[in-house]
Order: sequence, then C-alpha cells, then structure tokens
Amino acid sequence: MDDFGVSLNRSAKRWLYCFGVIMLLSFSLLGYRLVDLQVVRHAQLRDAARGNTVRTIVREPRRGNILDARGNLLATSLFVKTICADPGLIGPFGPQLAAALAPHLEMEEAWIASKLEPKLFQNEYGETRTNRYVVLKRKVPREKWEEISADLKVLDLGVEESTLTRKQRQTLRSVRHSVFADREEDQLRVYPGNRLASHVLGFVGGTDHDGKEGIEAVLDSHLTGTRGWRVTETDSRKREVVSLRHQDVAARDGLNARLTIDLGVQHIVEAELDQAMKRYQPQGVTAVVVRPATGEILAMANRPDFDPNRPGEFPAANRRNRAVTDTAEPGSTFKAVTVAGAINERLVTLDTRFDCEQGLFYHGGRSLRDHHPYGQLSVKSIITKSSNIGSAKIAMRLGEAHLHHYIRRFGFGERTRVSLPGEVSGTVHPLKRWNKLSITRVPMGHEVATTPIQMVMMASAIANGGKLMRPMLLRQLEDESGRVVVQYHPEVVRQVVEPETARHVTESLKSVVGPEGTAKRAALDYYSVAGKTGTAQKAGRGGYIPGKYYSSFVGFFPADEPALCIYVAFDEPTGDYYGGLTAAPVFKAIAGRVASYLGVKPDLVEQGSMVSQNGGR
Amino acid sequence: MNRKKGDKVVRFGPALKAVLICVVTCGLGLGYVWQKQQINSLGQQIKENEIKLEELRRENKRRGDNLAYLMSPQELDTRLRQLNLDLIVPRPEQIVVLEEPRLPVSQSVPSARAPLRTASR
Repeated sequence: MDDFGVSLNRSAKRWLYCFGVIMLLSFSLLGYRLVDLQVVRHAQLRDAARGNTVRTIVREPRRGNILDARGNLLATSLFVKTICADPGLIGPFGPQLAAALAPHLEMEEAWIASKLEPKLFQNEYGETRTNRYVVLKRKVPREKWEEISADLKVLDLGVEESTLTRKQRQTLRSVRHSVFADREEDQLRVYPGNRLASHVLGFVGGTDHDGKEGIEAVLDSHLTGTRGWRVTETDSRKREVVSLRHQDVAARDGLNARLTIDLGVQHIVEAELDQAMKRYQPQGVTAVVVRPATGEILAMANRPDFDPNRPGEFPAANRRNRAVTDTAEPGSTFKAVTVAGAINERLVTLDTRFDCEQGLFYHGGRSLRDHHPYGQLSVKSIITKSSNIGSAKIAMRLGEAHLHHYIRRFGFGERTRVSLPGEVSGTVHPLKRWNKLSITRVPMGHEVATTPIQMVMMASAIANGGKLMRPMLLRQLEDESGRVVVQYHPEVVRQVVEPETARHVTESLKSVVGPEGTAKRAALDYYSVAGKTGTAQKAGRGGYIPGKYYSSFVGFFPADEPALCIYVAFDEPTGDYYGGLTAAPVFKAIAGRVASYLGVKPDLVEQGSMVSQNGGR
Repeated sequence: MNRKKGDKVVRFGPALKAVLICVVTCGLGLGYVWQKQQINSLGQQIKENEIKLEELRRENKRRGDNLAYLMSPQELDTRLRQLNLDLIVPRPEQIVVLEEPRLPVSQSVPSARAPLRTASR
C-alpha cells in the first residue's frame, strides 16, 4: 500500500511537473505573443486597427462667387461627381451597363463598353490582377449622378433574378454597384453669363481648380477658401458612428468678390462690339467704360473672346485681355497729353495760334503732313481738326523734357496696377533715347506704345479735374453670409495737371465732336461729349505696315460734369479706318444706351421737359 | 450565526445588501446601455440632420443660381424679345426724377456692418 502510494505520488508529481512545464511553456509563448503584439508591433498594428475603423474625411471649401456691382452672379462653383467603375465586378454585363450609362453621360456607348471591359495586368509581385478603377466621366452634376444611381438600381440585366441562388443574386447586386461616384467631390466653375466679361473674369483649370486668368487668377487665394476635415469612426457597414467623431473642423468657403463691373453695362458694351465686329471685321476690338471720379471700371470687353465655361476650345489669342496686354501707338488721341502739358505750363492758351504750314512741315530733315492743309490754327482748333503739325509745334514750345514729364505723369510707360494679370507698361522711351524727330512724332502718338487701359485712365484724369485715378475693378470681398471682409476704395495716383488746365483741355475736346471736328459721329443727342479720335498706322518689322491701322476714340460725357469715360479701339478695321468713322459711332452707341441704363442726367435737354410741356404723359 | 444552537433565523441584512448590489449593478449596466443607445440614436439624428441641411443648402444654391441666370441682362433681353412687348428705353425728356426728402441726421440708419478691413485696389 505504501509502495503503491509512493509510486502513485511520484507518478502524479511527474505528471504535475510535466503539466507545469507545458503550462509554463504555453504561457511563455502567449507572453511572447503578447509582447510581440503589444510592444514590438504595437505601432504597426495600432495603425492597421485604426485604418479599419477611423476615417479622415477632407471637407472641401466651395470656391467663392464673383459678383458684379449690383450683386448679379458672374461666376459660381458647384460640387460635382466623378463617375467611376470597377471592371473587376462587371463580368459579362458591360454592354448592358454601357447602354444604360451612355444617354446619362452623353458619351458613346462603345467607348463606355470598352472602358468597362476588365483589363489584366501584372502587379509588382508578378501576380495577375484586374483593373479595379476606371474614370468614366468627370464633373457630373450631383443631380445627374442621383438619376444614374436610381436607374442602375432597377437596371434589367437580362437575368431572371428569382431563379438565382443567393450568391448569384449577390453577384448581380455587386454588378449594379460596380459603377460609383468617387468619394472626393470635385468642383465645377460655372459662368452663367457664358462669354460675358470673360476677359475680366478669366477661368479656372487644372486638378486643383485654381484660377488661371483674370480675376480668378488674381484673387485665387481669397476665392479658394480653407479646407476642413473630420476624423471619425465607422461601423462594419462603413457607416459613420457620429458619437465617435474625434475632430470636426468645418471648411471655410472662399470669399465672394464683388467687382465694379456692372453686368448691364457690360452686356450693352459687348452687344455693340459684336455689331462692330460684323460691320468692320477687324482683327480685334476693345472697349472700356470707366467712372472718371473713382476710376471704377464698369465694363471691359474685347473681341475676339472666349467662353470661360469651355476655355480649352478657344485659341490662346482669344483669351488675351487686349485692354491690358496689348500695346499700340495711340495716334492722335495722344494730342490731349501734349496740349494738357503746354497749357499746364502756361506756355499756351486755347487761343494761342500756330502756323500749320499748309499741311507740310519739315523738321530734322523729314516732312510732317496733315490730312488737310491748314494755315493759322488756334490750340483749340488744332485739337478739333487733329493737326499733326500744330501739335508738333505745341510740343516744340513745351520742350522735350516737359513733354516726357507729362507723358509719364499721365501714367504712360508704367502699369496702371489694375487688378488683372498680364498687364504691360507700354513703351515710353527715356529722354536720352529720343532723336531729333521725336519732338514732332511723340505729340501725335507715334514712338510711344500704350494700352487701352492707360488711354482711358488718361482721358478720365482730364475728365476728373486732372486727378489720375488707379483703375478699380474690385469693390469688396464678402464672406458667405454677406459680411464685408475687405472694402476697396478709390485711389488717387497723382494730380497730373491743374483743374483749370483740365477744364481747358475738356473745352478743346468738346469741339472734336462738333460740326468742325473729326468725331461728329460721336455726338450724343442729350449729352455734351468731349473726346478725341486716333488713327495710327500699325508698326511692324521695318516700319509702318501699309493699309493696317489702329483706330480709336476716347471720350467722356456729360463733358462738364463727366459721369462716364469710354474708350473704343479697333485693331485693323476693314473699309473705313479713321477713328472718327469706326470707333466714334461705337462710342455713341455704347454711351447712349449706357447713359439711359444708368440714368445719367442729361445736360443738353431737361429731364421731364416733355412731361411738363404736355402737362402729363 | 451560532451553529451549535441551530439558529435557523434568516438574516435579511446581507441578503438585502446582495440584492441591492445586484439591482444597482444591473441598473448601472442598463443605464449605461440606455445612455449609449441614446448617444447612438442622437448621433444618427445629427447625421440625418446634417444630410438634410446639406441638401437644403444645395437646393438653396441651385435656386439662387437659377434666379441669377433668369435675372441676367442677356436672359431678360431674350425674354423681352420673345414676349414682344414693344418695350423701349424712355428718352431723357420723358423721365421725371423725383428727389426724396432727406432724413435728419439723427434718423439716418447707420451701416449695419462695417467692413473688417479696407484697402485700395
């Protein structure tokens, strides 16, 4: 009994010992595994676990709107979808899906079917795989995607589903889900006015939806806004568990930009430019409308133009804003600068007379001609009749240094700092590069190159009592609730000439649209107009190009209390080429309609006179 | 308890304590579950409302854009031509401008929202 008891005790102890060792080994292995999971691979596994449940969602800001001075919408952004497909799930149902998608996406059925066909490729490990992601169409409106999604849910795939097994039905369901919208939303920039103010607005492009031209480019950082994000967790069905949101930072939408452009004025200007293009068939035509007192640009238009909704479909030349990027010799419109300088220096008055040499004047061994032979002409008549010889003689009395000084004072040879990209400064040669002919050529707008925006600001300075304003295109930046964040104010660049001088120059410019002047066709029925025509031969390599002209007219009205200043310029008009015959009538058409639209008070007829005469309406 | 005396009197104190602890524990457990369920339910409501708000914002934007399009000069121009109403722009001598009486300074409404920043452009 004792022996048996002892041997049993030993055997049990042995077993116990073995069991203890096994347990120890097991716990050691478990401990090792625990250390491996919790310490060695902690970071990697933590990330993997978080990756299964935690989602970081980027919240895209909406690009700000661009509005006109009255709050009309010029540009806005919509969130849109990118329609994608997983060819690996589609199997033999590609043709049916393509037929269903083609009318919605407005694309060819065959093209969609080819995109939906699974394509095999080898991955980096040499394994054969099927492509799982193809983009069918970008920038699809959300409403359209909802339509597509609803149609796909009930799409007849040509299979009687009730006869299928559960697994087969699941396969069919995955076919319907094989076409999906990308989780990240894209934005579509929409310009409701299509071509209206296209050169001012510019356009957006690229994958980042950033501004490429115009105001879109200049204000890109303000319009873009700031991204937000949301760190949250999802359940097994990928649905968000709101109570487990860790971070939720809302996106801050871009600021809305309110311009000084008036959509009504812009529409009138563009309609008139379209007619002018048909009539004179020039290479290009530009018009700018400015309020002289503030420098606000109410309209800026060029032809040829483009549709900012589809900028890629137009040649690059059409997208150029000629009002700020193109220079040309201005011609006789520049005579106003010469006369303003001479009057301001008190070297001449409007009545000072000059001998215009009967139309032929030799200086520096070269001849200078007028279009008509004139004898003695007053300064006022020199402007009225646009005498080249007269203006040359005024400039000679003023002197090269003074003339150059006033040209620069009026803002030529430097950028106006208008809020548009690509502005050029034009050409004003430094005084040391002037030759002996320059004093007779520069006063009539040769040997200098100016931009339309410089010309209209020069005329606005004369209209504004000699004060040169900075052209103003931006009125304010607002947040989405309409609160003004930045307010822009008119900026005086400098007082170029004395107010009295500006008044005298205006007096002479008024005569240009009179019966003796070169711009009779610019005269308005209800408003006095002051302006100047310009016709310059275009310069090319080796000199002036015969038959190619740059014709322009710049004017403001009512002359003594100017409300608007308008510049119109034709690049190579066909048929008539004088500024007084081409640009002046366009000025008249624009001015008449814009004055009526804005309710500018007439100075040649009393408002309501017809009503008071008739005693009623 | 005195076992030798065979005292078979049930002592309710500890039993009551045990029951109480069970009830409190169960209550806390149920309360926790209920609270979690409430949080989850409110989370779902928040999500639904967020989606609804987003949809309303989108609809508001769509309508706003549509209104902007309908009010654009070119659209009004086209509609005028379609309706053929023979509307023309009045001549200045046909326009009577009435000047509104100016309010005294004290009654004039100050601008509700002053800009945050001003600049020249």
